[in-house]
Amino acid sequence: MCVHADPPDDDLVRAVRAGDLAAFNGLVERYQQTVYAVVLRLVRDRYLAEDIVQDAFLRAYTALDDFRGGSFRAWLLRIAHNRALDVLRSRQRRPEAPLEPSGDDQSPSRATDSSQPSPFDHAARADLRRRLDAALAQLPDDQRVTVVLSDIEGFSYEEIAAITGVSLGTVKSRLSRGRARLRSLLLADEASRELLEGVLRHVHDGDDAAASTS
Amino acid sequence: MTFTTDGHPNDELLSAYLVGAIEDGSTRAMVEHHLAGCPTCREHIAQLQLIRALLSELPAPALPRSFTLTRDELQRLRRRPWYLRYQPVFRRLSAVAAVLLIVLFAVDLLAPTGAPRSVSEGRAEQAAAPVTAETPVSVMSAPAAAEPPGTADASPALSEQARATSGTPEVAVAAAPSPQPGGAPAADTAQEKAAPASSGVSLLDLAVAVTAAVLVVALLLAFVLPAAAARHAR
Repeated sequence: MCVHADPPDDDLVRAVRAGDLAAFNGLVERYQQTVYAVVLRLVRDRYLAEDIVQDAFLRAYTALDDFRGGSFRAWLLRIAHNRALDVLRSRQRRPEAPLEPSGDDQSPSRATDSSQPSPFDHAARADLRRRLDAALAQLPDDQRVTVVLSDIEGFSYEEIAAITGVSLGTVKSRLSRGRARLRSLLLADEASRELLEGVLRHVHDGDDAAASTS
Repeated sequence: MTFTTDGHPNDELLSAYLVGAIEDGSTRAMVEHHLAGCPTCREHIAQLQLIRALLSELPAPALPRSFTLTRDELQRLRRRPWYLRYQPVFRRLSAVAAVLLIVLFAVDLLAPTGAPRSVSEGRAEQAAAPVTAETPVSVMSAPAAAEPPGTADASPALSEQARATSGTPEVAVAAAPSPQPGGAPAADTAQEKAAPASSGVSLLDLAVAVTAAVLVVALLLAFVLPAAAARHAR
């Protein structure tokens, strides 16, 4: 995850413990995007997510002595995840509105394959993505957070197990059930089904280079 | 991870195949073999693959603001109360004390049947019982007599023992009426005198008391105080 030649997490943690308070902000800057994205997908409320993320970083800072090594980002995400679950549990219902990413704040880091030539495909993919986002909101919390951590944020099974406090086997089964559920949700909706099949056909009919994005 | 009854790989297997996470070589080969001859499952896999690709393309939400902490916030947070700094210690301590307390209770419970510490207690009770059983007459006569200091001390104690062990209230009632103002303390001291080997038992009681006190304090510091402080802060 360390893209730049920045100091590793462990060095920053050691620096914070030694009294270098500003080093903590290095960790905040490194992970705030991931933490916020995961929490937002879990609670689906911007203001709530903002509070939870703020709280999670404060907690992480005060509880840094409890960090016993290993993956710092998993430890951090665990704090945020637990906080988000607390908040979810204390709220009876939550808004089901899908997240609409405001227009063009699509982060370039996420555009893994921008090599989609056809305008139809581009529009259809974007449409399908929105529908998928809405379907994601319908998953049970445990499946959703597992799918988000794995397929959106790219965490390893081991890290997800540490974050959500379950076994590797549970992570795998939540992941497969979550993906299967997403697929059946899309197939259940006529328009989504057509889009899904259309995009797939397009991928198959089009150049094979586009198909080999797996 | 298996195949469904109609011969297709189940969701979990397909999901694992999707990300190349089938560790078992023969299972992987079986799935590949099945996929080669099953358009339905190929379609299924392709859909899952597309879903996964689309998930990874989902735009990252824009941060509402930066979550970096100011120097003041950090400085203030670092000076947290001592009981919060040592909270993990107190938590562990409370767990240890709770376990120890259970062990002590278990020892206490098992004591009459054979733990080494219990032998003295058991023997003392056995010794006390026959004495009370065979001496009701002498005990009855004791208050009527001129109360020699030795027997006056012993008789209420023995009756206490009798009430506790053999459960014959008549004897006790018959023996007790001597209206001694210092009856209860006398009984206590007599009991201690009657069972000199009972120091083991009182040690156990002491250990239970100390452990219970430690447990209460540790629980207060580890859970109650931080919770109260957090509520106060809000």
